[in-house]
Amino acid sequence: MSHDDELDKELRFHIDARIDDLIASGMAPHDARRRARLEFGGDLQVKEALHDQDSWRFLENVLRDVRFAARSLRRAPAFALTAALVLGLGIGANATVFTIVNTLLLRPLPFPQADEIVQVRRRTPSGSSGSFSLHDYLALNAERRALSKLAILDIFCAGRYTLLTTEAAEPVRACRVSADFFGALGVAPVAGRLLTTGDDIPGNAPAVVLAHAFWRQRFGSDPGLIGRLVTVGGQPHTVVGIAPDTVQAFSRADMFLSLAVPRASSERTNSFQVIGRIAPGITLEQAETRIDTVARRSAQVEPSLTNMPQGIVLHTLQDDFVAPIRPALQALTVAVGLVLLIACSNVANLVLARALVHRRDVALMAALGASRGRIVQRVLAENLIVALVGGGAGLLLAYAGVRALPAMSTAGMPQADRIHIDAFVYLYVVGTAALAGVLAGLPHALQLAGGDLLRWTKGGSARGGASGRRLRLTLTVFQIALSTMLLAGAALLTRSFWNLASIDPGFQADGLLTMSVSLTPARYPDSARLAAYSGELVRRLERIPGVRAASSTTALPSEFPIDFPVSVAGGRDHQTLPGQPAALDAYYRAINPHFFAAMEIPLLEGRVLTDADTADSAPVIVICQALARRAFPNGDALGQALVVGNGYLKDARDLRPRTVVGVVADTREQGLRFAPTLTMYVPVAQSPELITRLVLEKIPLRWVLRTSRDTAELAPAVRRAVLSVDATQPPADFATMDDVLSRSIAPQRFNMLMLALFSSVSLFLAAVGVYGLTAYAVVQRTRELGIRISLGASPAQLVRELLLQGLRLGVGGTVLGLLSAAALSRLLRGLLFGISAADGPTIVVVFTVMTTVVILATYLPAARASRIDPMCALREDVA
Amino acid sequence: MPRPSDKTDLLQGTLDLLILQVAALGPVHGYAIAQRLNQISNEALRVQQGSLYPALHRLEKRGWLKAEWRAAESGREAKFYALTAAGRKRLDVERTEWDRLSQAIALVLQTAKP
Repeated sequence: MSHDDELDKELRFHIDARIDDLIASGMAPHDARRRARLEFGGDLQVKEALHDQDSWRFLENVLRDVRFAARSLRRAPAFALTAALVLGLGIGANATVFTIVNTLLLRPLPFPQADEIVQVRRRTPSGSSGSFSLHDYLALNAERRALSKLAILDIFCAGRYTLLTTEAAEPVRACRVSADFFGALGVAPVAGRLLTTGDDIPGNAPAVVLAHAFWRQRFGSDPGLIGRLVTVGGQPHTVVGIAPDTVQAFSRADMFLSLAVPRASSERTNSFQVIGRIAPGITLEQAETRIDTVARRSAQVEPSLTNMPQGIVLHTLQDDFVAPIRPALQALTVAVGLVLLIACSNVANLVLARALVHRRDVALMAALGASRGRIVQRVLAENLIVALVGGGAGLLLAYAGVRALPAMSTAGMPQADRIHIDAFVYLYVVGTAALAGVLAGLPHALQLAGGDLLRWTKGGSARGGASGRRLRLTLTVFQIALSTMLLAGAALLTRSFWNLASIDPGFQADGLLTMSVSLTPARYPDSARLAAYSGELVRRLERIPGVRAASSTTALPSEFPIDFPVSVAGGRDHQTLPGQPAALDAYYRAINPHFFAAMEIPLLEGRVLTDADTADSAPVIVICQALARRAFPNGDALGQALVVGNGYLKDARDLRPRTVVGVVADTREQGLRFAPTLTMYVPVAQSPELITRLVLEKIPLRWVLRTSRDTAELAPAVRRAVLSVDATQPPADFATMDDVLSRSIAPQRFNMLMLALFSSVSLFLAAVGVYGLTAYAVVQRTRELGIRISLGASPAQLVRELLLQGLRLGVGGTVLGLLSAAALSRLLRGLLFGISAADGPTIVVVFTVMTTVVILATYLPAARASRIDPMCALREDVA
Repeated sequence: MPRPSDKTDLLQGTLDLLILQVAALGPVHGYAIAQRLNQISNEALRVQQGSLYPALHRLEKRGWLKAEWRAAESGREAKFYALTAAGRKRLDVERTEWDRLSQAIALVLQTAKP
């Protein structure tokens, strides 16, 4: 028997027993029945009282509320759909940003105990640097109590190498790593083994570990590959095993080559990075203190060889990845939260408008004895259903958004393909939907909970609307304010991005094609041969119709810099002359003489490098204007001599003073974001041997071609030309310079696009909100307006009145929004370039746009008001 | 509209005591409890069904009464409530409390007498 049935039976027995007694005492059966019933009272009430104590009551109520709410929503599909869609927009945007935050910030990296893996950085005057020299690494590696595994690897962990197979030479991404690399990450091999101690001892057979994806795609997961030899970077390596896919979270390299680490080294060039795993049982801080002590001690013992005199800091690997994007993610999270608030207040307005419609239902419920709390519960149930449906829509939106992310961001969002929706996102969506439902229903619920319910339900349109109208007005102002904040953020980011994108890079980027050729160091062991290769390829490239000039260079603008100290020559031991600045660090470019022609960098003084500057002619150097000013503040740079690489280079020939023969215009080297950098240009033929060797080992040779034709047309011819000089050195990474520069500001573009998107959505919602408010007001006041028109008021007057109201709304909301935006400006500070968060013109623009939108949104329904036919209006009964 | 549960707590506690007392004499159904209370108190106490059944269910849920469906004298099935061991203990506690309360009230009334 169900609970309800039992209750029925029990009460029924009571009544029947009473009837029997009454009959027994002489009453007629019919009267007895009536009397018993009267005495008993309504069993509904008894049952209600019983139910009150029932713990199932809550669930029953909820189910009943849900059923009722569903029915009532079905009767108002327009409201339900609109509300669900609006909330869906807000929830979906939030879910998308949360997915990003979840994957990148909240979930750990896919390595075991990922928070123990650290990136080792050395303190510098400007912060810290992740670049290390071999010498410093060996000094740190002597201490085992801080980091149990310390690995050194190429600083560009996906450099271009050439894989030579019997078929052809093909470019691959490879990284040289020491034996502890995979141990530091804590991964296990998919097949074979990973690098172990012994693999990095100089003299032992070089080993290579392949990335799983590369093994799959290039070699078809052939297990027989393990144990075979492959030639990479001109050297045969034994394939010892396959690394799991999780390693991709750290590096995109296809192959991991064993790096020969000598026992001792005085090598000072910072061309490596160092990662490690914290020793078991100690904290990050303890490990940092210990290794910092080791670093400082080593710096004191060998001050001329150390690059870490200020010690070491440790960052967890995740922090290191995430730190650059954290400010952007914070700003986006706030922005998307604002969008949700706007959506909720928009729906709240819809709910309030609808409330006046189903006032009678509420009156009925109150009359039947429902408490205030029950009525509020019913209202909230309705909103929660709408919100959950909206949540479903939002989840779909999030899926679409996550899929669109990699396309939208290119390099703007690191590891964009790791971002995926998991159980946490589902939980988040449900939670956000519940919150949104409660928020959207809150104003109406407050309206019901406070004040006299009866008076409210009885009130006519004038009375009942009063408190509701105030609420709706407040909510609309709120929406306008929030939307203004988003608009301000988007405007600032847009201007900032515009500043970035329109910086003059210092050369002609348009019409410049770039590519890279990774050269085997063994084939080009010195600068002379490298220069010969470069010169020959330049000749062949310039023969291609459409290529006006071509040149090799060690790095492209906006790519990772290679810098060396440069000092003014003179005095003994290349010491600086009195009055001259101490050694400066400048970006180093070893170029083919046609470089300036290809790049179209303006020459300011002297001459550019020519083919006459060979290995045998006098050592020359061309510097940029900023470097000229810094190095020679007192006079002319031309004719003076500079020494490159002091302290790093050993060979006397490398340290020859180089005469400054030309000064060129400044370029932006570290992306478009930073000030012009000090750059020096040296002919390849005269490049110090050590630098040549290092550069060849680490990075591919970069090429720039000034073209007058389309890239796609030229690429095949260029490829043929490159292979014709040396068939074993294939070209790769064809890209226009515009693309290269554009990649360097991809993060800013991403932030701007996201915020612009959110801002547009919010602007739309706010406009719709204002429209709705005014339209509803017009409908509510149709009778009043009709009367006034019939009494002689001109329609234009009425429109003006409504417009003024809208204007007040708009100005009030915008001012409020701008003030609030000022409070939040701190969030944007790290993301802006070239303007402050309190930029005057931007504020004016935002103010104008917002108020214009509000006026427009007010005008449309207001115009309709002017066309009210007084006769119809008076006859209308707006209950 | 007055709701049945708006009765004061004092009355509710007293009703519990009365029900437990009646049940102590043996298993009894709701109607019989109402009748007995009416009879024993010489018609002074008339329990509303709206209070009685909620009280019975509450006492059953608290474990002081045990319910069982049985055939009544009339032949129909009725829900009989019997006192449990815990219920007996509760009855003793309630009786003691009631005695204390009524003594206290008596004292106050005595002193208030002019």
